[in-house]
Amino acid sequence: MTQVLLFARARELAGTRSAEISGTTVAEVLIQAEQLFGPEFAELCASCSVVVDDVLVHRFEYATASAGAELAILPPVSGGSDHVTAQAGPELRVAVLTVSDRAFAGEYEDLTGPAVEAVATSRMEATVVLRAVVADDRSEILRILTEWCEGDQVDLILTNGGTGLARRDVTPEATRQILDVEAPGITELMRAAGLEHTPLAALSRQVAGRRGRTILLNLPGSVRGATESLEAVVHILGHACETARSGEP
Amino acid sequence: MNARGDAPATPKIVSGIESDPLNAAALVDSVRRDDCGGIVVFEGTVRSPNHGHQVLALEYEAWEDRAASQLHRFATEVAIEFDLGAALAVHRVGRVEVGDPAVVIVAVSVHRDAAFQAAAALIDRVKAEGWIWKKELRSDGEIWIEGCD
Repeated sequence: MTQVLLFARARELAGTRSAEISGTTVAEVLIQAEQLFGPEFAELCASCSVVVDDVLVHRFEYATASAGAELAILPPVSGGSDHVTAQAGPELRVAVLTVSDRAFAGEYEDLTGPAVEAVATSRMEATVVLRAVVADDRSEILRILTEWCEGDQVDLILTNGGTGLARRDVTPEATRQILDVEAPGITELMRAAGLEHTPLAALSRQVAGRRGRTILLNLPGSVRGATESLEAVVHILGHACETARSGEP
Repeated sequence: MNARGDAPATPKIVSGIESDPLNAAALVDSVRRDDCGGIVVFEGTVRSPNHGHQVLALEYEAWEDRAASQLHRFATEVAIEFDLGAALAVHRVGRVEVGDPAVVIVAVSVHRDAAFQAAAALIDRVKAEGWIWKKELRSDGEIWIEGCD
């Protein structure tokens, strides 16, 4: 068990100064706390600093850092937002590719891309550096993904759409074609989360993996499917990106 | 030793988290010294109005033992960096009324330049890094201030 200390608004939302919460990693403890204390707490938690046994833990390390004996959840202090962001390390550079014939043709507005961006920026300290809408066209998807992976400009590419069993759906195939390695555990986790809502999640064909120093991840095309899938893995994507970036170029 | 060769050998450090009202004059007296000719005092006081809201008071909360050791460390590091004769950083917790000091910073130096710079550096550090939060008690509600205001 980890003794979780809560301060200021986090304390008020939780209704307590401290709580015993189980979990072996920082991410597990935070997820438990968020479930225990509700959505408003979870939202605040995304902007909090976390100190474990007197050491400030980097957001990218949540999935691997041990929860320790004492874990403090610290809201931003009044004079410190710039500084805290600087302490939190390099921001994640995210690119969002919406794959949809109809959105590309302008038949409807792309709502999923912006929804994915909102989750990425609020839950992962990400900056969206590139975005595009493309038709369900394998060679076009391939061209854009390849271009985005060049020149160390993006840490994480999130596609949405084209992952089902319709004959036009080719996003996983285009993605797989350029991956150096696949990371099936990421999509297994997303699918497991989706199955809690609908058995149709079993029909999704998303792939994830790494090309060069960039992590690529397919999300479903619906707003709900895409955001819930991303929510299911946000706590491990930072670590995935950090690992992909580490080492010699 | 600084370039002028006349900096005090050992800076005096005063720091703390206080739940009672701060007496800035008494705090300044605690760090005066004859070998220093410049004392810069910063008082951070509770202001009203703020962003168009009438403020009744501020309620400060700290991670008390950590914030106390942070203030001591910030004051020590700034004193060393600027060759101060003394550095003081004391912060309130609890309810602080409009016009009253929430924080007092004092930098004591042989000459004034270092004292001005050090006082600015020290309050910036306390505000940005100290585990101290404030809730604004307004005539129309309460709000935690998170991030730069």
